[in-house]
Amino acid sequence: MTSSLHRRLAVLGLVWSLVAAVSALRTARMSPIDPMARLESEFRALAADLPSRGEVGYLERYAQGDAEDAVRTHYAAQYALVPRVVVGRTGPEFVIVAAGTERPGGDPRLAGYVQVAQSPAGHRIFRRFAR
Amino acid sequence: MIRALAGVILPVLAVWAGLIATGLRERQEPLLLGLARAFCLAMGLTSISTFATLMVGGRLNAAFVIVDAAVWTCLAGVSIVAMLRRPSLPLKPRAPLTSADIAVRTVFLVVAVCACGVPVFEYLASPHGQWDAWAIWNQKARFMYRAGPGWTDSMAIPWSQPGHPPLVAGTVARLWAYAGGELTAVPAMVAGLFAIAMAGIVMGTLGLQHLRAWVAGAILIAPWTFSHLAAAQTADLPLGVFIVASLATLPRTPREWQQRGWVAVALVLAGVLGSMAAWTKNEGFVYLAASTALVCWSSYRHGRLADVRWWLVGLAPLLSVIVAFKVFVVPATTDYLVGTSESSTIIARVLDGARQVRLVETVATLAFRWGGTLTAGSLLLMLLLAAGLGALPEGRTARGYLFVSAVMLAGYSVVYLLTPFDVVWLISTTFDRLTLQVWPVLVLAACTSAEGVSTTEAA
Repeated sequence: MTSSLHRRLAVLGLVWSLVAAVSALRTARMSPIDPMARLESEFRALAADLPSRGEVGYLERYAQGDAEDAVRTHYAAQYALVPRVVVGRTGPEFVIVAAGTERPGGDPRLAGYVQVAQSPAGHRIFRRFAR
Repeated sequence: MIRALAGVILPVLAVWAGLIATGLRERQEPLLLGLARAFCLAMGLTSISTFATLMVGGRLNAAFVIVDAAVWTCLAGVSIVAMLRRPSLPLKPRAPLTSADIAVRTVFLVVAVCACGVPVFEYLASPHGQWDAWAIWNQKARFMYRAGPGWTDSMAIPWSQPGHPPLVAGTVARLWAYAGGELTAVPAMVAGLFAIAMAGIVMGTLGLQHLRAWVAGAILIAPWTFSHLAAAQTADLPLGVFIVASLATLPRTPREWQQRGWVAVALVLAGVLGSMAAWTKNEGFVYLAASTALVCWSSYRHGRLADVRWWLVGLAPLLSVIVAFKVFVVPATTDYLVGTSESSTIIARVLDGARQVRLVETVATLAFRWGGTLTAGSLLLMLLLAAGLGALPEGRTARGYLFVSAVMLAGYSVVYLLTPFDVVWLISTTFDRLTLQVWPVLVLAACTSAEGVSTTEAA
């Protein structure tokens, strides 16, 4: 840096960088644990009871289905169960019912389905058998 | 993990040595810059070969790894032997370090240690990456790794952004194949290597013998937004790397434009890197439009308009792959501009005063906050600094970079203006990622003109 202006700018830039980097590190140390790792391993436990490919249904949460945690849980099921495609509706032969998504006292969306598996975390698989 | 690292090192070595062996790059070029550029090209090429393997019905199994590793080992071996046989100019003796050099490099080192710590802490808290990583990029990689040619089933998942090209997902899937399993450390490593490559491109372009390269490196990697996205495992940081790598490869000075053979090579390489930006994420097309305009203007101003063909030669091969991907793989999906084919819809959205107020307020708030706690305002300051230095008579190169950044930001603003989605939600979830794509270009623009001469002439 030849001119004094450039030298001053460089010093300012370096001081700013130090403050920014230390501040970023402090912020990162306080990062909350992402629930995705837990959710992913919970849904992975259901894989053995599902077909290896194709569409699998997913019961959207009965209330506030578009809330962030409800959406995250649905996406986690999809992420864990690739290469199956986890669609947000009933209708396919197999339907995943995540813990807490079913309407208490009987969910009419599950009419015709019977439970065939349950994971330790409380997520369940329902299946509709052909008559 | 070692095997995944081998999946990176082999193609990088092959490309780096190959460029020197064929005379496309000089051995005197800074090693950091050469390796960073080779990393970009290698990741682009290997993602194409992975995509091609899947599209012809192949799987990413042991046989794929054996063939892939054998090919890259052979190419690396041949390239290194050819490179060593090639006569090269003697290296310039290095000047001894001054106390200012030592001080600046020490500060850079401290900043780098802190910046590297951020992805480590974030990886421990979020091993699968941030929301978009597991909802889009790593999920697509899982489809590729687990389902082979059946990976296209992922196109049925609306939130997985099926229209985005598969460079990042293909890279992760290929390295999982090398590792023999879906290690969460692999996408984290890929993200980290792209972050290092970004610093390498910016610092190497400015010349490591100059203080400004180390200042630029520190400024580039220090903000929370940078290190946070280096940990994100998404495609925005890789896109930013390809953008700055492509721009930095373009000829800059009148002297460079007069070297006929050199200009052709530089334009082809810059074109290839630019097309890889479009192969990374759809925003890369905005970069291609802006950079094509810059190349046309620069070549016209230097009386070398015909040389635009070299830029197009660099773009064409991968663009044809992208077109095939878009036509044959991507289904018709909704995007951020749904409904904008009707002029009445466009007019209604543009003239919606309340919407525009929300848009401006949200952008202003996020632009001010950009950078993290204690360093708010850094994006706006860098914009002002780059614009100020670029306005100097000798800031011609910086003005070119700023033009590209301005076009990209304007393009994103148009999407914000016209999107049918909640504009506050869209801006809040994309602003940091989109601005990070131009952050290295702004830093490079500011520091390129920091001494009043172009980087190349200074070197």
